[in-house]
Amino acid sequence: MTAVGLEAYLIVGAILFCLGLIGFLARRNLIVMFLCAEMMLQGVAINLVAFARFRGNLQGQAFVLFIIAVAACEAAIALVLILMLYRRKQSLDVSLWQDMHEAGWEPADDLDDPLPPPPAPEQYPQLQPAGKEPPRKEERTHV
Amino acid sequence: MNLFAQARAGEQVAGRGLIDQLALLLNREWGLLLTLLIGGLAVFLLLPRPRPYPRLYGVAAGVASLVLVAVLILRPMGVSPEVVLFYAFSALSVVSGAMLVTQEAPARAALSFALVVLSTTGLFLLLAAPFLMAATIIVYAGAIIVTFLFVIMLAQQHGHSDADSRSREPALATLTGALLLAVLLYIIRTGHDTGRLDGYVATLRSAQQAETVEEVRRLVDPVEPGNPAGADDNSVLARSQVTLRDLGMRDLANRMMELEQPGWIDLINRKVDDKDAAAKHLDEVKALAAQAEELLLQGRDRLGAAPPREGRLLSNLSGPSAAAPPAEIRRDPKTRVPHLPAENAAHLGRSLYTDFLLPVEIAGTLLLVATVGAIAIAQRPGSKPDDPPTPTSWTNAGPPENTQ
Repeated sequence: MTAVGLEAYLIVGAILFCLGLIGFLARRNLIVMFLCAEMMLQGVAINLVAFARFRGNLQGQAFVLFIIAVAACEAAIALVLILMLYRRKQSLDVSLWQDMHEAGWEPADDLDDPLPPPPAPEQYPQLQPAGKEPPRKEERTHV
Repeated sequence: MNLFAQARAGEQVAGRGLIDQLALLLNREWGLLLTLLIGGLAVFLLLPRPRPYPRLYGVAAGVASLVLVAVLILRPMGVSPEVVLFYAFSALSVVSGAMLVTQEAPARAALSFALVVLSTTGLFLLLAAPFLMAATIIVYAGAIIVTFLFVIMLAQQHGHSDADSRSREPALATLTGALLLAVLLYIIRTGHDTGRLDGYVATLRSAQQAETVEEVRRLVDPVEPGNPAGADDNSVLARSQVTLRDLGMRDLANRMMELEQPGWIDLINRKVDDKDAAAKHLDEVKALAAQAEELLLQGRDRLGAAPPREGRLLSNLSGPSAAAPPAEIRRDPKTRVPHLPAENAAHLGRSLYTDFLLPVEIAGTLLLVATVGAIAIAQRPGSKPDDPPTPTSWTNAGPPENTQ
């Protein structure tokens, strides 16, 4: 029996997929949401390559190549769309677009839960300004 | 017997009520549920919040859930370089994935994703896909992540903003992910569980090491004294027939049935007197056990595979055709994993340009369309920025008090 079975790789793929799902649903930064979607694709890729290995077929690996190609296209288009959204609101926060919600749904409100204030900027001790520069003696000899 | 004892005895419970079935499931899969509970708790505690829980609790829960996955969910494997590397790469990828999901600063999240990609490519290398390893590193870690790091640099110059320190519905998101993971892991386990077949194979292998026919009979077909062998349908051969039929491999089950009757029953019940004939008898019995073991190993190889559709020949340019009889696939004799060509890139190229020619062309067209589309959208005359964003979150200009 092989040391590492097909099941083990499928489990790793499933864990990565579900972690990506949690991140996509929970995070608010558009870029981080996109990266979580890419992590879901990585989980699927592990599945496909594992099946290719344990069936003796290269079809799974060819599929992963197409996934990479599609992911690159998707990254380009997503980048451009995020750029468009950023130009409108000057922020990468997806909650700013909550006005596009469906009817009868109340958007979340963050004002009640403010962040703790940032630490005050560091105060450095004020030193006396350095004294006047003493006059230099003229060089008598020049080499 | 109460329901839980029945579950431990492995009896069928189809036909019972829903609550009963759920209780049975809970009892049988308690390891899975415990692991997911602790893992979900770890992710929930670590998701960014304005006032986060102490990091230590989340990290401790995460480490505990990783250990539980290794112990309860992954079947124990031996110690070998492959196993050690597999554990290292998969642990690194899961930890980096958790970091990607829970890091506040988006730049750190992007770097964690780079680590996810690198460990995933390590797993690709373990799975005999060196070209994919290189391609993934170049495209993902080299292009996509760098591009998005640039975007983060240009869009959020003051580190992480208020929005990054908050999560949308962390509890529901974690619950959704954990529920999906539970279903996936359960399906993987039941679809690829080789436990029963492995048990039969182990018995047959130890039978082949036996010294006398009596020992073989005791291992393979424990019968009541006085009953002839095969009378109780309790032998390994009979039970493995039932298992093979349950798993849907009727042809193997039929061949096992032919092996058992009349082959096994006649052989094991034969009375032999002199020594030479006894030695030959033992060899015949062991040969039959070897045949049965081979059938079970073939069943194990096919476990979880969908049978190809009748009547359609699939090409063999990407590897052995899925419609080929299982005996034709070349396997490594010890590990029974099919051989993959050593020249991975060459054979992958051949597969792409013969079997997958149309998808390759379509992918090329897709890349072209994406490029044109991206440039076209970005070139649009700059849209006016909206009114200043509502004060639910800071903009990328940082907190209001900070003047720099």
